[in-house]
Amino acid sequence: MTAPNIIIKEDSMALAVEPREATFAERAAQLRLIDTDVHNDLPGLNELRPFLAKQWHPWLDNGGPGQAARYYANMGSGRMDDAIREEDGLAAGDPDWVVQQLMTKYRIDIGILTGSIIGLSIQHDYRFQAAIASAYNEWTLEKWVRPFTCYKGSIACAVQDPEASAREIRRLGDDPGMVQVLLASAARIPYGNKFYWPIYAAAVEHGLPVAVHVGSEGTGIANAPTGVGFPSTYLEFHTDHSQTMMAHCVSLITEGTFEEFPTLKFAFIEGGTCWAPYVMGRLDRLYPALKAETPYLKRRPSEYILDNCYFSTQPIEEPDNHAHLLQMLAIMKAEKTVLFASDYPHWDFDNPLMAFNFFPADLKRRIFVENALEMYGPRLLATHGRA
Amino acid sequence: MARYVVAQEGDIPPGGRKIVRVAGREVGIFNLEGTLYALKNVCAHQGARVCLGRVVGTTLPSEVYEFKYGLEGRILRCPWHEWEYDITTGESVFDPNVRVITYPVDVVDGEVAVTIPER
Ligand code: FES
Repeated sequence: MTAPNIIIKEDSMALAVEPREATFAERAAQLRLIDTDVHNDLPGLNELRPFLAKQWHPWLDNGGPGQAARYYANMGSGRMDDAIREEDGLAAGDPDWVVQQLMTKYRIDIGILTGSIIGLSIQHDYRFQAAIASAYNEWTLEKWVRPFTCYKGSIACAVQDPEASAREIRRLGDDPGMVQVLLASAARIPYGNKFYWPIYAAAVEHGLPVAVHVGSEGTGIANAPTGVGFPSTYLEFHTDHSQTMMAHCVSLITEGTFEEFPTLKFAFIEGGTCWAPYVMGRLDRLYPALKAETPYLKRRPSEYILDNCYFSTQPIEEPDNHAHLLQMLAIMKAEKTVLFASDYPHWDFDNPLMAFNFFPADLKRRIFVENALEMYGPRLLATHGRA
Repeated sequence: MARYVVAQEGDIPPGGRKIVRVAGREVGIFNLEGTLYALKNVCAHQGARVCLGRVVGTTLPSEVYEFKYGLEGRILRCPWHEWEYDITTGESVFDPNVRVITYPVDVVDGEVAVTIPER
């Protein structure tokens, strides 16, 4: 975007216009809404063939590799049925379609793509999955990000192999089209564990936040979706999403991850928000008593949450009394920590034009725009078109 | 109250539906076994165009571990978060106070009309 630099003569006629790049602040002021969770669809693994080295092609030839079976799904289609495009039967298979159905309709300026492949990090065949992750990242850049100024990508990686993930982050870390590293909440080990630190080292090196998005829990090589085992309904599963988020968040804090990487920013996407105040209170209460165990923590635990962590709105809690939600948001200083996410085109999408109507305007502005700008930094507005 | 002719009877056969624009809003007209119902195309939850949803049946209130499926063809399921409404009343299946707005609909001389209250 360029802002006209108008030179005005005494007679007040604009005589010459010298285009110059708009500044970050000028662009930021014009933004209305940043969506931190847009799920573009991959029509099938075969789409990735052009981006995959030859040795992996046989895997695609015979119907593709088996992915973890029996993932949790709801009774409906799992998508917004009114957003499906006839040509491909997908709700987000075409970037122009998503511009129409989501970006324009809901006045969203920037959509962060979270894709549809996070489950790759809990497949057993991690070498192949690392190749898939790279191919997928190339596909995202080529098909979605570079041709469209309104989309930014997330770096997918095979988290079960942290070294390979770090290589992938370093490979793409300077691409202005990529704004974060994306992990699935499904995991074998909580994310604060040192096992994962090579990923964070690479992310921090490139100034990239890391986002953990719910999904795939209890499938592949991941642990059960809850601490007590496997839910039997989607209602149970979906409600328990925040358990994995809590576990990762508490792990990141107590393992000292944010002491090791003070500039690391971590976003919790699609886990809702209201569990964060509980975690803050509980940790702060226990910390004085149990501090001997974690002498490397230099601050009250809740301060790491307020300074290093972000939480996406969706699915926003909907208590009968709106004031209750606002109070929870106040405890977690939502004006610093909460980001808007629609989850388009999934069935639990939040409508930004309605779901936040009772929010005070300044809080809404923080959640809709400012917090995302702070978390992602200038890269979010950087031009990323084809060189 | 104003009555608006919105369709011809033949446009909406049994099992069919038609979405019309009338008096500044969208209304879905559903034909359930010969009877017509008109629902405002706005979901009580987050405002999705609810009349684009699937027409389905649902599991009725039952004992624990018991499933009774019924109301086939009478339940409208919102395309977004899958709240389910009884097309004949506009009431949601989980709380009668949560409902989609309904309008009276009638057929005179083969013309389908809905009656919309003044603002
Ligand atoms: S908008 Fe209809 S169920 Fe949420």
